[in-house]
Order: sequence, then C-alpha cells, then structure tokens
Amino acid sequence: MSFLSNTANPSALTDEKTLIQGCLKGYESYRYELYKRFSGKMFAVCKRYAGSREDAQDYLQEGFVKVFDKLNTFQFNGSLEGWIRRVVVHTCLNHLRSRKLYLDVPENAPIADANAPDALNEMSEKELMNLINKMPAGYRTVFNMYAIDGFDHAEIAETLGVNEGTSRSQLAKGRNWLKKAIEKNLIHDSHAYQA
Amino acid sequence: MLIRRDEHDIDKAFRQKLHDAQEAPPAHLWEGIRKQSGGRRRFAAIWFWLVLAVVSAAGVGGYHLLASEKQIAQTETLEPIKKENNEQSVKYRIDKKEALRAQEEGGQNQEEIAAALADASDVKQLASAVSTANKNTKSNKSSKRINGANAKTTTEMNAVLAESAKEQSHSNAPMLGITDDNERKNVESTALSEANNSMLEFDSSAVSGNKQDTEQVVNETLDIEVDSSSAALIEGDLYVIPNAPKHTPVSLGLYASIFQPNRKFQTTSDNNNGGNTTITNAPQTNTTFQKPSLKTGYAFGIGAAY
Repeated sequence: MSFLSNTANPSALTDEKTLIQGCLKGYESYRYELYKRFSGKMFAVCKRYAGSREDAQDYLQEGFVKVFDKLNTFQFNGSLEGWIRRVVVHTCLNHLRSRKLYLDVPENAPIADANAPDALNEMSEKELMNLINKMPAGYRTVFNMYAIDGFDHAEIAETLGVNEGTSRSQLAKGRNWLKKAIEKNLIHDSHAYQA
Repeated sequence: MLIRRDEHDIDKAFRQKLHDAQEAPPAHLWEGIRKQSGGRRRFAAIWFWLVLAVVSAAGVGGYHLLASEKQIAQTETLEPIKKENNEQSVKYRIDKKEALRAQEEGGQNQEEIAAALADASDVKQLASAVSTANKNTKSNKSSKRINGANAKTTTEMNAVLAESAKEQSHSNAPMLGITDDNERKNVESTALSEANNSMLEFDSSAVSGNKQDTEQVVNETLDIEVDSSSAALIEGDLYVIPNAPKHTPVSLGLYASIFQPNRKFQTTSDNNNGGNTTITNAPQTNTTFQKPSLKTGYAFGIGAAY
C-alpha cells in the first residue's frame, strides 16, 4: 500500500487510521508511535487504579499488549483513545478483581454525603493523584470508575460483581474519605508553614 | 466521557484534573511490550504452521490410505476379468491337449470294448462288458478330463460304441442262435440302450470329476499364466470393468499419473458399452496398480509441511 510504503517514520501527525493500519501490518515503528502517543495518559490511568507505581507499570505493559492484540477489533466507531482507555481500565480491574482489592474498605466509615472543601480547587494534579493513591482500594476503584472514567453504577456493579447499592455506598464513603483527607492535609500543611 | 448534570463537586474537581493527566512511563516498558507482543505473534505463527503441518500430513496419510483401498477395490474389480481371461486361455489349452489325448485314449477304449465283446457269450454280457470297460475308463482321471472337457469327443465315442455294439450284435447273432431279424434288432436295440445308459452315467460322473480337475488345473495354471496374460494386454487387449463407476478411469489415471509416472496408462470411457468402462493401454507389467511407497508418502508430507 502506498501510504505505508515508507514504514520507517510515522510522525506525531500521522492520523489514527494510518497508525492503526500500520500496526495491523506489524510495523514496529507504527506500534511504537501509537505507544508513545497514548502511554503517558494510560500510565496515569493505571496509577490511579493501582495505587502504586510498580503495579501501574505491570498493568500498563499488559494493557498495551492487549491493545496490540485486539487492535483488529477496533471499529472506528469512537475515538481510539477511548477504546484504548477501556482496554487498559479493564486490564487494571482484572488485576484488582483477582486480588479482591476492590472489596478492601474500612469498617464503619461514614456514608453521609461530603461537600467539596474549598481547597480542592487549589490542589495540583500531582496532589490529587497522591490522594487517590492513598485511598483504600475499594473506594478508589469505584471512585475512579464513576467520578473520573464515567462508568455508571450498573456498569460498576456488573464489572466488579457487586450490587448497585454497594457501588453507591462505596462512592459516598470514598468522597467522605477524600474530604477528610484534604482537610487533614491542609491542617498539616498550615502547621508546617507556620513552623 | 460521560459528564453528569448532577455531578458532585469532588467528582468534578478530580475529573477535570486527572482525566487527561499524563505521566511518562519508564523507558524499559516499551521493550517488554514489544517482546511480549512479538512473542505472542511468533507463538501464534508457530502454532499456525504446526497445525497446518499436522493437517497436511493427515491429508497425505488419508490420501495414501484411500489410494491403497481404491487399489484393492480396483484389483478386486479387475481380478475376475483377468481370471476369466486366464481361465478361457487355460481351458482352450486344456481342451486342445485333452482332445489329443481323447483321440489316443479313445482308441484304447475301443480296443478294450472290442476285447470285451469278443469274450462276451451273449448280448447281455456284451452290454456288461461295455459298461465295465466304460467304468474302467471312468476311474481314469485323464479320461474324465477328456470327456468332461470335450463334448465333441464324447459324442464321437458314443457313436463309436454304438457302431461297435451294432456290429458285434450282428456278428454274434448266429453264434447265439438268433435267426429272427426282429429278435436280432431287439437285441441290438437293448445293447445300444445299455451302452448309451452306461455312457450317460459315465458322462455325468465325468463332468463332476472334470469340474474339480479343471478348477485345480486352472488355479495351478493361473499362477504361471499371469505374465502371459499381462503380455496379452500389452498387445492392446481391453480390460472391461462391468458397471464401473464413471470416475473410475479418471481416478485411476490421476493415481497412475502421480504414482506411476513412468508407466503408460490411458483410460477411456465408452458410454455405448452398456455402462461398462474400458481401460486401454494397461500398465506394461503385471503390477497393475502399485501402492505408493511409504517413503513417497512421508516425503510428500514433509514437503507439504515445509
């Protein structure tokens, strides 16, 4: 095919369709370009779910291997990034499910709905990521799926094998945990600043 | 991404800052992905070729078995025809030989009969002598062959016997004190009847004896005569396969062209031959359809697998 005749250097400007076709042809340069284009975002996703950098690396590696294996099933109905994100998120969930980490929640945690602290909008991306990584795994999984990746409770319940009520209560408890953590973090920081 | 109308403040803050967050993964990760992904591809390729090789080998093996079964079927179809050809050939030779023997031994019989007649004191004794002579002849294996194989000779012998009986009854009549012409005719008629009955008895016995003898001789001869039969085929004789399926010549030709490339083998189908199929220019040896060797099968399989 003429558009793949120069297989050495696909650039950042190469469109997604060409990139996919190059990958399907088995050209490593195209696969590497695809990896470069999406690995940063996907690594962040993996970190949110894994809670640790080491686990996130494993999830990302396995996720991209699946992406390349299943790329021929991509139908161009939505964005390529959305499709890759779904594959990577499900890879993370498979790991969490096998380790039953999504059931890991503190006992007697308050369910009352928490309001967002004012300081939340002032926090950086890195600080929020650190907060998520410190969350109990059960809260973190549901919060990630519902609040950030856009799953609804029915999907969460089906994916994790729990009922929708459990998903809702986990989400509420997770928000409460975050509010308290932010407040505690601010107090700790102000004390440190004054000192 | 789904953005809800009633989105919680905490959710919104996290989504806005973390949904598109990026963090560079360690450089070695790509190497792992590349190897793992390539490894799977190689693994899949190995499986693909392995399965293909197994299927090819199975196909060749199956064809090999099928071909050998077909060969047996074809041989079974051709064998009776070859046997029939041989039988006819052998029968012809036997008939010819036995006709010669019949001439010789017929003469001996006549001598025996003549001797018996000379010793006979009356017509009954004459008939008995004829019967005894014939029974003696029945015990003779070669005579059985003569009479069973060659009806013409038997008929001639009957005629000879009848003539002998007639002549003897005429010549012995005065000696026996028979003067009346009618009485002499009655005696002659009785003698003839006795002689004929005796011959009929002899014939049926001889035929049953001859059948076994002929089969034995034919079977013995078949073992020797295969080459001569095949030689006859080279000269342009036809094999006729009664009611052979239409594909038979094609499959035989295909089979022969693959596994017998050095042998002349052409087949034709004759639609006007009452459904029979004729195969001309048969192989030039008596190994009509040779089973492909196991080496050939393996070589073909390995080649296909490669």
